[in-house]
Order: sequence, then structure tokens, then C-alpha cells
Amino acid sequence: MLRQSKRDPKPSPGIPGHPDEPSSILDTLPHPPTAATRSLAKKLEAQENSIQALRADVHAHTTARIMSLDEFEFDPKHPSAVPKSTTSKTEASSAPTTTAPPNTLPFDNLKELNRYRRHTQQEKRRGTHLSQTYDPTTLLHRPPTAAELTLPMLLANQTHLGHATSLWNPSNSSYIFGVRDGIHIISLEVTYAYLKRAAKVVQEVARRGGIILFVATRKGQEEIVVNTAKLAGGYHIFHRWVPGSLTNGQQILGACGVKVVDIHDREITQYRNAFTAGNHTVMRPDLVVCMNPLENQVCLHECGLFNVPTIAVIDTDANPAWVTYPIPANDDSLRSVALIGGVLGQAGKEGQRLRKLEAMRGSATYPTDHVHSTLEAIQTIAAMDVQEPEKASERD
Amino acid sequence: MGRISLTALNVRRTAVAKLKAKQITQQPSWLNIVGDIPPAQILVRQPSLQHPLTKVRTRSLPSGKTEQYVQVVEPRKRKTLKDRHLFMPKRLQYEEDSLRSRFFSDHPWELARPRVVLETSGDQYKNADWSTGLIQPGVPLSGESVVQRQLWLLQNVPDITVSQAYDIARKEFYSLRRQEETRNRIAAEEARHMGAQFGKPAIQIGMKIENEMYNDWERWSRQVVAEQTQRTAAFEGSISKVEDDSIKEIAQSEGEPERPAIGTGVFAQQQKLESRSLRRAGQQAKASV
Repeated sequence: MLRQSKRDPKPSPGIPGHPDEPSSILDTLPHPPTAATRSLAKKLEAQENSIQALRADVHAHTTARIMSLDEFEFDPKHPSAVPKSTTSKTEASSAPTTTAPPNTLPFDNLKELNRYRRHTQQEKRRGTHLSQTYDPTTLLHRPPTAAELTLPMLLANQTHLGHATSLWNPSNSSYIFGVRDGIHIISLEVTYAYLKRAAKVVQEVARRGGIILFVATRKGQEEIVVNTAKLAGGYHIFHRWVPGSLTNGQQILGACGVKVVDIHDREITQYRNAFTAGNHTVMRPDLVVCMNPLENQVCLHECGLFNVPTIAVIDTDANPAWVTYPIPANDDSLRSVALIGGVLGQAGKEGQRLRKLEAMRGSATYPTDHVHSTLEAIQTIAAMDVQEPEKASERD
Repeated sequence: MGRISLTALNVRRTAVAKLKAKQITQQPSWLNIVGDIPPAQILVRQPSLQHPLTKVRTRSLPSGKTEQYVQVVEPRKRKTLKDRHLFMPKRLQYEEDSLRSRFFSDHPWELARPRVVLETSGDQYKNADWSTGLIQPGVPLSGESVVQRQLWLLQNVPDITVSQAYDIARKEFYSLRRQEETRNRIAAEEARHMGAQFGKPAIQIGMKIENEMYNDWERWSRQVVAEQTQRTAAFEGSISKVEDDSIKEIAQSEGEPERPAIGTGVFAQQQKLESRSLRRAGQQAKASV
């Protein structure tokens, strides 16, 4: 015979109220109070009352004691001074009902709480010296630039770890350094060179005012991709690449708004009415950076169809022919993706800085003639107030 | 299927062709950039890197000088040399691997110690100088220190064997561990003296949980036994306490200790006892009459 476990399936409950059942539904019905139950209830109530009174008494006693301790300050001049706490003690114990309930919130506001926390942390750190600490948010807040990148940094951020040897894509054989413990090790030098090249491309595109789109749709990459896009002055997708965003863009993204800006990125409000939502051709990115190409094959395929250059992190199981500029690195580690995103983001930031510098001098880093001609054409169309053919036929 | 699409690689060429054919009117902003920074060559297979096992040793020459030299252990050649093996990545091997496996097979409990495996900057071993001993700045004492120290000895002490270097490194390690343990013990004693409480150790907590499980089981088994005896008693009746005592008394008076019977002896013993008790009951009845 085996001992029953809690995880064993429970026997199915029988028919409630059946006479064979040990417990009947009649048991659960509340019975009318009788004399005996009433007396019991009275007794219970009396006992509870007495317990509460006792508790209040004890509480008053302890608070009085604590207050007396607070009042007592050690006087170095009169070390034999006795704390005068007897009066307060008797007062408190004589009036237990007047004591206020203890304050459940020890801090009045968040500011005080934060001050307290900071203080305790400072006290904890006193007398200890921490060296070689790792803070995962450093890569987000202060990512290295392409010039600051080193091989030990790449190694520490796990960019060299590939997939199991059986999962490899043989097109990546030139990026692979060797086999260790059943996985491929990506060559750090190759990663370094390709990452620098990609950073250069991002910087140049940003300098010429191109639209850069960062795509990272894996779980946990949201913060990284948002941070990267913010740095590079680009755009990001972290949820899902909607298939057809490029090939069927007018339908999918037509309802989004655009604005016309000058070389200093200030909006020109004059064209606001001409470019209302749904009244313009969709914008297409000039560069797409993808952090997880395996999940975004559709995106890369559409970029190929629409002639958009792409940059992607290529792990040992991905196909490098999907992208224009592969970065051979580990795409499964968030730390590695954060480093690569940070470097690209810094490159974009540098490009934007150069572009704005050029704009301060009064010239644009990109051609503006075709934009002028387009805007003029739009204005003439608006001035002519062309009716749509259907409406015109209705009027006739 | 099977064909490789080079569309992504040829973005520039396509864009230039489209411009020429006036499919697009405006030159894309990235066109010159992709021209200036061309995409890298992909899909080109290079013969894979060889990773022979290299060992650095020092030997003393007859002239009295010492000389450091490098031994290269070539991997065994494959019997069937196929073209694809030429491009397969090779296994990475280092001399430390054998030293590490030796140390940890001899000291398996070193692996049970908590250890930080997180890389901080990748430069943690930059300031380590293994000629000075096992304690290095920023490197906690562990089996890895022994391996590095042994490697240094192997590379720099003339005519030393692997086992000699191992003995030196591990004895240094033992003495340091002893020091550490003594220091920790004294620190704990001092802290206890000053009123620190460390709570129950993990093993005691484990024992407590185990005891609870045993007690629980015992309670359950007692209940089951009680139920079973009740059921059998309801089915075939039980001997009353008086009868049981009398049987024991007889057994004592006869002088032979009651022995548990085996096999068919069970029935014989049972019969004997029954007849005795019956006889005694009859005698009692007569006496009462």
C-alpha cells in the first residue's frame, strides 16, 4: 500500500445530499440559534473583548517604556543621572485608550524614503572597497564608441559564442575561429572588423540625413533597441515586423503622419495641411539594422526587394547572404546585442552631430532639390483644387 | 531552394541600374556610402585555422645557461582526407586544459565552491603575475589559480616535469586554503563573541525537513495499521486482553521462551496455544462451579 500524496488525483465527489455520503448538504445550512449557541457566542465575545483590552494595555506599556528610553540621554557630566521616566510611564499605563495606533507607513513621502535608502546604502559601503563590479545598465547608458571598442570588451560581452556545431550554416565558416566544448567560437577579430565597418555605414547614413530603422524583436531586446534608436536618432521596431510594411506600405503605414522639416530639424508648419495623415506617400528607410535576422527573414527579404541596404547580427546558424553588411556575433546574449546596438547607436549619434554641425554652417549634407520640386508641385496641385474624377462625374 | 540570393549584396548595383533605366528618379542617399564602404566578401571558404597544441618549456644547456623553447604537438592526421574537412573549423586546445582536468579530478569539491563566472571587463587577468604566487590582485583563490601557477612554473623553471610543477602549485594552494579556513573560523568566533547570530546551517535545516517527513510518514503508517487491524478484527474477531495475558503467563511458566514459528510450525504453535487456553478456561469454569 502506498502512501497517498497531495498530488494524487482526488476522488470524484459523490452526489451532494445523498444519504450514503458522510457529509450532507444539510450540514452546511446555518442552524437557527438556540439558547446554548447564544450563550457560547456571548462567552466568546466577552473573551475577545478581554483579550483586546489586555493587548492595548501591553502596547501602552511598551510604548511608554520606549519613550522613556528615548528621553534618557547619557550625560557625560553626570554619569550617575537616573532617567526620569516614572511619571510618563504611569501616565501612559493609566490611559491605555488614548495611545494612537502605530503608523504603518514610516515615511511621509517618496523623497524621504529615497533619502533613507541612499543613506543606508552609503553606510553599507563604508569601509569596503568594491572593484571590478559589473552593472548591466552601463552598456545602455554609456555604450562604447567604435573607436573605444576592444577585443577583451567583445569577449567579456560574449560576442564570440556561437551555436552548437551541428546547427551551423557553412557559409559562416570564414567567421569561425574554432570549436570548443561543442560550440563554434566566432573570431573576435572578424567581429571587430565587421562591427567597425557597420558602424561606419550607420554614421555615414546618419550624417546624410537618412532614415535608419532598428529591428530587434526578441524578448528582452526592447530596451536595447529603443536606446539604440534614441542614440542614433533613428526609428525602432521591437514588437513585430508586419509583413508588407515595405511592399504594401501605402496600405499598412499610409495612415501615419509625416512632417516637413528644415535642415535644423525644425518643422515647417506651412506644409502641415498638405501632408495630413493618409495624404502622402510612405517613407522608406535608407538603412535597416536587424538584431535577430532569423526571426526577421521577411523584413530582410522586403529590404532586398526594395533595394534597402541592411545590417544584421549574424550568428553561426544564420545566413550571411540575407544582409548587405553582416556582423558575425552572438545574437542570443542580450549583453552581446546591447554592446553591438550601443556601438551602432554611438556611430549614429556621431553622424547626427556632424549633420547638425553642417546645418549650423548653413548647408545641408543631402540634396534638397528634388524635395523643393515635389513641394512646389504639391502646392500647385492644391492651388488648382483638382476634383477627383468620380466626384466630377457625379456633379455632371 | 538551394540557390543563394545575392540581392542584399547587390543593392548598389541594382540601384545604379534602376537610376540608369530611370525607374527611380532620385539617387538614394546611401548609394555613395555603399560604394565607399563596400560590403565584405561573403560565402568565400578559407581553409580553416589550425590550432596545434603548443607547449613552452625551459631547459638547461650543458654550458650552464637556460633556454626557453616551444614544443608544437601536431594533431593526428585524418585517415580519410576529404575536401570538406579542409574547411571544417578545428578544435581549440590549450595546455591548461589537461592541467585543469587533472586538478579538478583530484579535488572535485573545489567545483562545489561558489564562484563568480561573470566577466566584468575581460581584463581581469591583465595584472596577474603568476611568478609571485597564487594570490593575485582581483583574482580570487581557486583551482584556476593553481592551473595558471603550474603553467608558469612549467614554462619558466628549467627541466621541471608536469607532476613536479603540480606538486609545487597545489601545496602552495593547500597552505593558502588552510590559512583562509583558519581566518574564517576565527572571524566567525569573534563575531559570535560579539553577539552575531548566524542562524541554522543548511544541513540542520535539511535534517529538520527530513525529520518532518519521517514523522508525517509514521503518523500515516500508524493510522493505516490501525485501520487494517480494525478491519481484520471485524472480520474474524480478536483475542481479548485476558486471554492474551494468560497465554503469555503459560509460556513463561513452561520456561521456554516464545519463539516465532516458521512455515507449518506456525499452525502447530497456534493449535498448542489454543488448546492450552481452552484447557485453562475449562479449569476456571470448573473452579467457579
